[in-house]
Amino acid sequence: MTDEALRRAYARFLASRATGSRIGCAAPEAIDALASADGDRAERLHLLDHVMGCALCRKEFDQLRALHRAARADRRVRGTRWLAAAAILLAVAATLLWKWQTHASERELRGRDRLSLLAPIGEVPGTPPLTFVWHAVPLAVTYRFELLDRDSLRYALTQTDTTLSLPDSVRLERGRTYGWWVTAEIPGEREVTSRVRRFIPQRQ
Amino acid sequence: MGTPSDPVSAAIESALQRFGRMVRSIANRSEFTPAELDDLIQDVRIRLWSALGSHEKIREVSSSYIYRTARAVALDRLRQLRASRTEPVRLERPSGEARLGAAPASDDLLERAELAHQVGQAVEALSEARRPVVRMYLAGYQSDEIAEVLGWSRGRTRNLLYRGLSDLRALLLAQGIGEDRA
Repeated sequence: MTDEALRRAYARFLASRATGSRIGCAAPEAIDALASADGDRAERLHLLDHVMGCALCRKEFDQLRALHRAARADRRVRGTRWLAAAAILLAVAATLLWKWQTHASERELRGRDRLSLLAPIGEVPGTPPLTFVWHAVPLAVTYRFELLDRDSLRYALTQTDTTLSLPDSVRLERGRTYGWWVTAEIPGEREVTSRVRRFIPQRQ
Repeated sequence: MGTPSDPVSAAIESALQRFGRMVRSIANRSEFTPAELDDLIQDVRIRLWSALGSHEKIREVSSSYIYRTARAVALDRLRQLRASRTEPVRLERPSGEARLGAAPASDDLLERAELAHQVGQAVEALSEARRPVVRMYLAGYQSDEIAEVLGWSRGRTRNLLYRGLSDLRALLLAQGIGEDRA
C-alpha cells in the first residue's frame, strides 16, 4: 500500500472510532504543550500516541499546532525583513561611503587645480634671489613649500605667506631642472597639493 | 468588516489582519474551517480590545503577544466546546465514509471499512516507540515536524518512521493486504 492509501484508511479508522466521548482524552493545556513541543520527551511520546489515535484530540492538536507554526513563520518573516532592512542599510552606507570617497577625490583634484603655482616656471634668471609665488587657497592656514631636484629634496619650509624667497644658502645649479610644489593645509579638510612645476636657472 | 472609524479599532484591525493572513497561509481546512478561523479572530479581537484598550498600547503590542492571545483564546474555545458537548458525535458513518456527498456502492463501502479496520488494528499493534511516529505521519505530518514535536533528531525520527512503516506493511501483508491495494 502507498503512504497515501495508508493515510486514507487510517483516517477512516479514526473517524469510525470517534464517538464524541472525551473520557481518557488529554486536557487542552497538555495538547497545547505538545503542540509547542514543551515538556518531558517521554511524556510527549505517550501523549502523542493518544492524540494521534483520537480524532477529536487530533483536531485540537492540529489547530494549536497551526497557531504555533503561524507564530514561527511570522517570526521568520520578521527576521527576514530585519535582514532585508539591514542589507538595505548596508547598501546605503556603502553607496554613501563610495560617494564620499569619490567626492573627496574630486575635491582633491579640484584642490590641485585650485592651488596654482605662479612663478617660477620654465627658464628663470640664474641670479638670486629667486622668488616663488602661488595663489592663496581659501581657508588654508599654512603652506608647505618643497624644492626638489632629480635626486633629493633640496629645501622645504612651512609658512603662512604665499610668497617665498629662496635663501642664499640654497645654491641652484644653472642649466639643471628643478621642481617645486606647495601643499596647503586646511583645517577639517584634506591637504590640497599643487602640481609640480619645473624651472631651469639660466646659464649666463 | 468596514473601515475602522477610530484609532483603537484601526490598530486592532491592523494587528489582526496580519495574524489572520499568517494563519490562513499556514493552516488548511482540516485545521480551521473558514468559520472557525473567523470566530477565533473575533475572540482575539475582543480579548485585545478589553486587555489593551488604548491606541498606543495596541500599536506597541508585539506579534508574539497576538499569538499568545490567540493560543489562550483557542484553548478557551476548546474547553467550552468540550464542556458543551453532551451528546456523542459521530464524525462519519460507521463505515468511515463521510455523512455528506454521494454514497459509494455498499460492497465498496464494506471493503473500505474492512481495510480501515485492518490498518487501524495494525497501527495499534506497532511497538510503543514507533507507533506515535507512524500515527503522526499518517495524520499528514512530515518527519521534520514530528522530530520537532518529539524533540528528536531528524535522523532518529526518519529511522523510527521508516522502521515503523515497514512494520506496519509487514503486519498488513501478513493479513493478505499487499502493495497492489490502494
